[in-house]
Amino acid sequence: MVNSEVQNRAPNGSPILQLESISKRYGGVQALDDVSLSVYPGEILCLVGENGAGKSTLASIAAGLVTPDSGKIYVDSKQVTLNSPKDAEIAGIRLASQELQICPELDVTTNVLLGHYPTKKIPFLIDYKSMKKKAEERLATLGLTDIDLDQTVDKLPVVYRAFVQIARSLTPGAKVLITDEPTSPMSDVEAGRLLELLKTICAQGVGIIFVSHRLDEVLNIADRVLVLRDGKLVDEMSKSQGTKERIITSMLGRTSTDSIKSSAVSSHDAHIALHVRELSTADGISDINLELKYGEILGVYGIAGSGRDSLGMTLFGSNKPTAGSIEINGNPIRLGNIRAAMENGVGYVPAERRTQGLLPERSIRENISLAFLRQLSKIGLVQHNLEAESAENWVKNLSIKTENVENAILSLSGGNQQKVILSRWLLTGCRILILDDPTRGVDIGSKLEIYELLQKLAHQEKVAVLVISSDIEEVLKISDRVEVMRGGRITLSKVGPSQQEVAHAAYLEDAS
Amino acid sequence: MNRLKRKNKTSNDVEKKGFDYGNLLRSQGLLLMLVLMVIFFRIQDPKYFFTFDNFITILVGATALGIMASAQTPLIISGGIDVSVGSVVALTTVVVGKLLASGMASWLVVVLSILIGTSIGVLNGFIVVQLGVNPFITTLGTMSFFSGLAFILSAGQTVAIRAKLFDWFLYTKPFHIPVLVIILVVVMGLALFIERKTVVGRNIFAIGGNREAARLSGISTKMLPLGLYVVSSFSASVAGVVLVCQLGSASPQLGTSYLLSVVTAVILGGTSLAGGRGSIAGTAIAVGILATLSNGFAHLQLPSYGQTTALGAALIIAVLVDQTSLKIKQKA
Repeated sequence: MVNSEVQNRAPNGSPILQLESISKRYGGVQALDDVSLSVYPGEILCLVGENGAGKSTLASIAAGLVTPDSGKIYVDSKQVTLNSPKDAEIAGIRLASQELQICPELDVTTNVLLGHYPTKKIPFLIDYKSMKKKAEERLATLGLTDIDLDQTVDKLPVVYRAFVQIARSLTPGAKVLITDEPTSPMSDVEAGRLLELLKTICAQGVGIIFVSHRLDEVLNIADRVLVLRDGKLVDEMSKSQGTKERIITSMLGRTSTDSIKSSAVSSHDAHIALHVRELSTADGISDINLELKYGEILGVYGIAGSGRDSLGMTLFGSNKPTAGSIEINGNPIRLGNIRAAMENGVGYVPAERRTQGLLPERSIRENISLAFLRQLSKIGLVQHNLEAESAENWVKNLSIKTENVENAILSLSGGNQQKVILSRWLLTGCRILILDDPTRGVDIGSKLEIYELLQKLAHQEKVAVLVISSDIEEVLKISDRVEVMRGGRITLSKVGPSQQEVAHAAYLEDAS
Repeated sequence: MNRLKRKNKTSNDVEKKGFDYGNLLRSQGLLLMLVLMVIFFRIQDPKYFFTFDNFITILVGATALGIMASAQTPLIISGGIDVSVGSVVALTTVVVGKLLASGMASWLVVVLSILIGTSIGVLNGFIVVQLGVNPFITTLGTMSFFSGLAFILSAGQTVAIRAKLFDWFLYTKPFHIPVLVIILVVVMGLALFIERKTVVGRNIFAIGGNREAARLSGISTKMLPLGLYVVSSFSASVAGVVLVCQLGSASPQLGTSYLLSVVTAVILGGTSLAGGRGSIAGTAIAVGILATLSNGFAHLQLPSYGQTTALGAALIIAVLVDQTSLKIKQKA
């Protein structure tokens, strides 16, 4: 049976891919409950929802990675079973996943054609000449003419890696392209380029399923938006019907709390926590001057390559600067030394949660206590009860969704994992907290909770909070003051700048 | 792909208390293997195999391997590896033989030869941690270098060794338990204690699980790994002295049998070569399996190379069981 309501709205012709009444259970959790969707040729269908809402499961089912418990799948109105990615590929469904399945040490040509190399007359002998030509053609049809084919992929910026990944998945016969959060590691500009690429692809008649956390980009490119909540399809809207408020309301099941507004703090008389003078590093930041006061949130905005990550790492002592000084509470500290920074009350939540933050094999408890274990021990022996209590306390304080601190860290959603990393530093009692992209890959609900937490920390507990971010709205929403970086320098420093001012300083010439 | 699956799990899925049940399952699988082996040998050799004396014989035979595996386990958990232990054993026994021949007091000989053996660990640690060379390649290199050196020093000769101190180690048996076995139990107990109870133990897991996260949490990711290489070589030189006691001879060929058996025991015990996961308990059982296997083969008068074949099969089966149980755990 075909969902008639959806078909009535068909933009053109019949759907390429239909999922009908799909349900999937994982243990005690109903990941998907009777969800149906259709994708039409040349349209971009966006899936949104909080973490754990079921979007990734749905995308995985469409890509043949996960087999549903019940429900039917049709490709070109013919029922199919997708037991493996291979089945999906034969059916014309392509996945460009979150993980960017590429071989970083191999060159662009090889990655674009991975596994489908042209051979010479003698089988098994790769025809390198036509290989390069084929890769070039493939990229050219996507309008990507500025990629060096001989470059190894690990030397490419993240957005180009995504381009390569997408070019690779679009082998001949592709009808549907599924992309699962491709833009989450990208800056706004990079994400913009990726969206342009997706538009090019859908103009060629391919249907696209686009999963994203970023509502701006969803509203920018979606022809239709589907909202999932707790495994159920709760809302569907066309481009003209879609508004941010409606999406957020559907996602959360309640009205959006836009109440978070930075309460202007009179920080004139506040003590200076961190004083940075003429800081420069080998990896590109130069002549940075900064003041961070207790009781304020200072937002640092910059696009990828602006030096924003390097600033955070350097302030925390992970990078050694080539010039300049950092003073904490008026005293200069040893540069390039994490221990020295920690002993002076600095905490640091890194940008890459998975590679820089989590201990993937360990429990929630061990992930929380990591930076404070020495203080939770006596003569080198961990005091297990004290450790467990501390962890439980923070799980409760930040309402991390788990029954037991002994559960594996990977059993948590991205948002809750991030709250665990936050707990790690709150447990140390740090008075200066540096956060690099604290809500990257975090669902909206947790995002709001993290914002509230940061504001409470700064305004009530008088912690000095430095938020580095690639999300312009985030910076404007939570910061008391904003610094904008571009090309390793600070290009704007202002209380309450407008979005235009920030964008101008981040992308164009100096605004000052 | 993994991420997609993981993301859909919620906290209700994983019911865990205390520590790692997956680990327990693995070591139980191993324990089962050990029990089955004991039953098999008991049936084959009803008279002598299942006796207290033979139990002690097995433990004495396991001493050198057990001491080295206790040090290798945390090293592998931290993401390192030391394949040079065999050459340290060989060099230590040769040094003991040379120094004794020069008329030095036997206790001083023991101390000096252990110091010399341990210094190889300082070299390994320095090359891996400070110079950033891959640990497998580094220790493969030092293994080759020092086993060659052991041959040069000894001119390839095996020499008999007699010293009262060594006899004391071998023949003193408080409560019918040889000193060597007591040393083994103490060393393994200490390793277990450090793994389970101390900050150092936890930091070892953290470094092996995610080095960058550990570093960004203020954990020294250089001193601790360096220390683990030193401890590994220290354990190997102690094992060298233990072997001199047991065999009454020193030979540059002694270490060759330990070339891979130490790493094999650790992996068989469920420690992940990728780091971040493993246990001393698992290693202890694996050492028991290896020692029982060699003892049982001797009793049945089977050729010793059959033992290597059985060990190889056991290793692969154990790793398969390990991976399957992990998959089950992740799907649950």
